[in-house]
Amino acid sequence: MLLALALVAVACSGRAIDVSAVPELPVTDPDHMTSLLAASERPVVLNVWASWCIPCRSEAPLLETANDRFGADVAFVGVNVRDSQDGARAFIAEFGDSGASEPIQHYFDRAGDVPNALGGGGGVPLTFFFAPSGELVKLHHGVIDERTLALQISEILER
Amino acid sequence: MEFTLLGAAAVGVAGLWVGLWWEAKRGNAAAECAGDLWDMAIAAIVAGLVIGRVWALVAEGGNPLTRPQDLIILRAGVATGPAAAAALATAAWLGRPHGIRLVADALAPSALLGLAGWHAGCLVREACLGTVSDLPWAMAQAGSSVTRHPVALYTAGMLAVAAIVVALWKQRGPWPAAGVIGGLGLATAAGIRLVTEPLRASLGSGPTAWYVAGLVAGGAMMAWSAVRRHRLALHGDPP
Repeated sequence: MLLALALVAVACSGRAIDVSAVPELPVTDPDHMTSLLAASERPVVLNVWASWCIPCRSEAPLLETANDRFGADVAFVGVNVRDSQDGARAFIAEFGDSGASEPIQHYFDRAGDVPNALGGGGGVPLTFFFAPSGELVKLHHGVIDERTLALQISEILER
Repeated sequence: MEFTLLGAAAVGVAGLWVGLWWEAKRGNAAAECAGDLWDMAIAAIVAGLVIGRVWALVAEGGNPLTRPQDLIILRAGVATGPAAAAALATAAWLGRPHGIRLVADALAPSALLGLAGWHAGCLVREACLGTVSDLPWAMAQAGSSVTRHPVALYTAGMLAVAAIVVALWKQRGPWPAAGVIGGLGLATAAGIRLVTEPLRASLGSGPTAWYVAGLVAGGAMMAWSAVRRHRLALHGDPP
């Protein structure tokens, strides 16, 4: 009974999503992303996501938490694939409001060429962990949990 | 890759089954009783997973009513403390006809062995490693030179040893008051997770408060059971 009441309370307390506050995502392609990674002086966590992807919704708050905590030392990048600009913006409006001083930088890749070029294949979500200068340290397929995310961030910080 | 979590869960369930089988074989739990305990334990695990997943989802800002499909993504996280509390509450509820303290005593070694199996399942999930360490037995991820504590294996080893010690105590005696073994099992599991938590990789502080709560609850159960038997003995009633 308590659980049911709690669920109803949560359902009724959902905030309205203001998509208009989110600008269109800049478009990226494999060359652009590769050059960004090579030029980065910080390690990079690159998450590939889509608004229609249920596991992506589950891990989005976790990535925001990680960005809050490690954003000063690690660059967090999101690449939206096989999606629409409207869907991507709605997703960011719902999940990308952690108040971090340096929010996650999201890009739009309609064809999904970037994860393919980086060796990730076609599925989402994917999370790439890069050392500075773009060396790939780890590729995680599927939804990521807190312990794995924390471990791999520690790994790229130690390189 | 996506099914490694199921592999780890299978190792945990296998640990639980081995524990119950061993207990029944040694006479610590009657063979017909072991079947009931197995059903209770599996029901408790399922209840714990459901509540733990709902809790984790709500804590992340998700809404299980508007997006119930998010609940099935167990891999995204299950809140350890609420899951354990729900599992214990379920086992206690199902164990009422037999006596909650007796059921707790009967399940304790097997539950500890099941938890040990779950943690040893890190080998399937490639999730054994924690904080950086230079100790001789520290391990590195494939392709990495950074060595780390195999913290999940520490936990699995400690839980397995605890399970064997508790089972041997049950078998050889001296027999404690009903409920002491169950309380000891709870306190031991929580204590082991508490002391290994600083060695785990984490984005926050981890569920430390829940481990402390488990430690206190287990200790309280032991103390209450012992005091209760002492009072019954003073009044001439059978313990």
